[in-house]
Amino acid sequence: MLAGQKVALFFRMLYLFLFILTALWLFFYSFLEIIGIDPSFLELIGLDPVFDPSMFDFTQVLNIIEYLMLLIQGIVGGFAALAFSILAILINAVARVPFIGDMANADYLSVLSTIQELSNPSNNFFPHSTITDPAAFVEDFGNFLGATTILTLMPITFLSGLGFLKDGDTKLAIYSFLGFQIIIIIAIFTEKILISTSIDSSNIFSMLFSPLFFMGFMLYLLLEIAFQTSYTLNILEPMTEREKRIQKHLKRIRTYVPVSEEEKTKTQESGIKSMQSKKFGLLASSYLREMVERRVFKSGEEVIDAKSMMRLQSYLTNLNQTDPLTDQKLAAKTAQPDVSALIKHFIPTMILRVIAVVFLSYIIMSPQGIIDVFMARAFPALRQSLELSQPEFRTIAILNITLIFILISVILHYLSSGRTGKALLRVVQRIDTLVDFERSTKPVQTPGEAGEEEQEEEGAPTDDEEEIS
Amino acid sequence: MLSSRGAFIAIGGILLLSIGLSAKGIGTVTTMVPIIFGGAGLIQQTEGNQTAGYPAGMEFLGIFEILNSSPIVDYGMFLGTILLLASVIGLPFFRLSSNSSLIKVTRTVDREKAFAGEYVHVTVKVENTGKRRMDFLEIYDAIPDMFEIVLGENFIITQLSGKEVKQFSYIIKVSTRGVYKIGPVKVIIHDRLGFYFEEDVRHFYTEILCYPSYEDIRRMEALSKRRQQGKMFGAHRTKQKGMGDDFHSLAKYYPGAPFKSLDWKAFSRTGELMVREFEAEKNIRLIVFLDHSGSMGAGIPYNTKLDFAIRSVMLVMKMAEERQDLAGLITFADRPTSYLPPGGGKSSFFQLLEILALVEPQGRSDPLAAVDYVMQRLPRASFYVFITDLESSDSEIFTEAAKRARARKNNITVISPFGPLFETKLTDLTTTERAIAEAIFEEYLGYRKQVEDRLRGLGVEIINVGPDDILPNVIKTYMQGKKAGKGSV
Repeated sequence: MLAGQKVALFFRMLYLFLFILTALWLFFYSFLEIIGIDPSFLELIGLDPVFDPSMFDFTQVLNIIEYLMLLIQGIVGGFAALAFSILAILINAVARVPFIGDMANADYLSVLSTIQELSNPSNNFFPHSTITDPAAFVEDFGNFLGATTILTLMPITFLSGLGFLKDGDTKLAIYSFLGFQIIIIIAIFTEKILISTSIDSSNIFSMLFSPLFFMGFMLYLLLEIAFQTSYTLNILEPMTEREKRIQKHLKRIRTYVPVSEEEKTKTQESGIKSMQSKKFGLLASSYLREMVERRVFKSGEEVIDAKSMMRLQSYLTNLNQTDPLTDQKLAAKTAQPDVSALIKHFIPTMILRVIAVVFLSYIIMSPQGIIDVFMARAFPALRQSLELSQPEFRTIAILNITLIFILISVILHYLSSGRTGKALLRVVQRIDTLVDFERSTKPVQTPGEAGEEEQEEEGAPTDDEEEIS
Repeated sequence: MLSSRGAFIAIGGILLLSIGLSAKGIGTVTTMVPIIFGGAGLIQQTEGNQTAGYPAGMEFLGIFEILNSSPIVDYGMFLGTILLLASVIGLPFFRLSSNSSLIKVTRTVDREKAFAGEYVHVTVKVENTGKRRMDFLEIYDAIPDMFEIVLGENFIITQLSGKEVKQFSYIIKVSTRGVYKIGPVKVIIHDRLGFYFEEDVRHFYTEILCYPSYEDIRRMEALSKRRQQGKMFGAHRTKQKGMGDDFHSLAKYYPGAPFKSLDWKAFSRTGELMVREFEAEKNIRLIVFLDHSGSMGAGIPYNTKLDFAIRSVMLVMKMAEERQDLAGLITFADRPTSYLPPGGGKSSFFQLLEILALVEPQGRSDPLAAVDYVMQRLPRASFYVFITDLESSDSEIFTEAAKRARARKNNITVISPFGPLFETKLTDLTTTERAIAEAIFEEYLGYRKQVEDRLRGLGVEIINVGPDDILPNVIKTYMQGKKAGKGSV
């Protein structure tokens, strides 16, 4: 296994480890509950359930269906009542028309009675019950909807994560992340989450280890590792694959031996003969060639244009004579990323990023500490304000910090693009122009004075200079 | 610039923040749904004097009040903050390290001129002139559609440390004649996580001149080697007497005739002094008029009338060069576009290749201008071979051109690719299409017959050819012309 492949495998394993950990935490209880195993023994080993298992109790499904039927009944009844009133108006209107009204009256009345029958709740068409407890219905319905959504998303999320490990496609990691988020949000909305949902932001560690925050943080970490893994997969695997593939092609071209039509026919004719007789028979040479071909084209590919292949073979030989590094260049071996540098930078970069993100998040979520340190004297009212802990303030803080980062990057880009130098040059040129302008707008001089000035400009010694000399 | 991945993270963050903020305003499902559907929450809140102050009938506005502090608020705010920060925190570092102007890309090719079907090795050198490492760099070297990559790849995905140089290469097969440009080069720099990118397109190009395929000539050479004939000087005799080895006829002795040519047997038979005369081994002066008007470009892509005509010209010129005949070429459309005077040698052949590589179908056809151009520069009688489809011009112009050429005792043969044969195969058509095609054929033939009749009246030979017989016919015309001593030097 090449070094690049090893590194890619390492990152995949890292992702897999974290993924399984998160998935287990989130799903394992629910899974056991669904398959009918009492998960209480897991509590003994310290694994707390995330979702309330009662969420997955589907005994209320029949009630929900009944509720739904009642809803439909209500809707149909409402429409029927509406239709009845409209039709009654129409019948009255038509009945007033001479001759036609008398003719159509009987038919209209039968339609009217049918609609009336439809809108009657006691017509044996709908279940004979009413919603006794709307709040219970809403709760049941919410649980049912939430549980089915979670159960649908669970395999999608899990398979997306595994798909990412297989293909290295970041989209799948994103789908997995989204799945996790939706599951958690549904659980919170339906109030069926069992872990503590309060986030203690009094200090950074208590915040970090608040169960809900920790879960969110784990998911973010998973996404971050997915991106880092994707980077290594994107940069290492294609190049490694490319190198292998091109080396294979090169070998195939170099070892290619054309088989003449005559020999091909002979080989085909003797196909029925035993291998032994082939080895020692007259067709030994063609047999050997065939073996070489089989070895070279073991994937079953056929060389259609033998002439082009031969020409390429000789062309490659010539290229190698002029430049011995041709093979390496073709296989992009010289352009392979440095694996050691990749590992060397991966972990510190990621740790620094995560620390910075968590620290800044903490500052935004709990700005009291920073304000105490830096702004206490300047803004005492701000320090004591209750608004600091409100989401509105946090939103403003996030937007500002985000904009600061963007601003810094814009400035850095401006500086690094060399535009500063150009701008300075433009300013200098403008100053020069102004200076020239001043020179050119000097008062009109007499020819004698002008002559003197010309002399000065040409470097003729002035009176002072003469004196010095 | 933020990539789609970075944008996703940022938007995801904003979305979560929005969820958090909106949840703060609304509350959980269990409190929200009863309010919307049954007004339960509203009643509950009314009891708690939360909706007090709303006018009668507007109590529903109470649902927008802060009803409940849900954990979704904190969760949404936290995760939203983390994602939003994650999407921008690396931006200043990216801007600091990634400056595409610091990437220097150069391209070299092992040859700038190649025959169609040959290979060209392209090497791309990438250098980071800056001091900072670039984590994720993509370089794409664009190649024309006509080229086929046979080995290697025309792009690279790598990382570059400060002052580091990396190289990659690929081999392309040039398939059709013409001038092609390799380039531009696209440089894309990403950050490690793929959140940001910077793109730059370098407009520098390497020109490749692709000569027409040498395959026909190679095949002919192989054939000649095998037969060991057809390449020697004077192998194809003319019917004129001269100093060759083959006997031509007996003639009466004339003073000054060499004694070794006296035929003593004839003298004994007739009693008169007779001398043996031999066939002369003369070379001919051949001028090929290649029409590259717009109509010559018709046909199956890369196998148009012009493509076949060019192959024929190459072949005949190579044969003429080997036989030490004086062969020249003029290409013309609505005016003469290039002229290669009759001559020989390798340099002349390479000039020919360059001319043929650059020929493109364009405009109308004016053979009269081409004939005038040649006759002004070459007053001697020659063997004119026109390769033209006789389509892009009036028949009068052809007639006039033939008249003028014949007036100077030039021999003329017109090899005319017949358009419909190049454009479609009758076997591929349905019955209806075939009937239509045949009708078109007939109309074409009618027009051509008129032109041919006029030209034949002037002593011009016309050969109609299709894609299958154009090459043999051009060679045959040349060989017959040589044998007949047309345009002999």
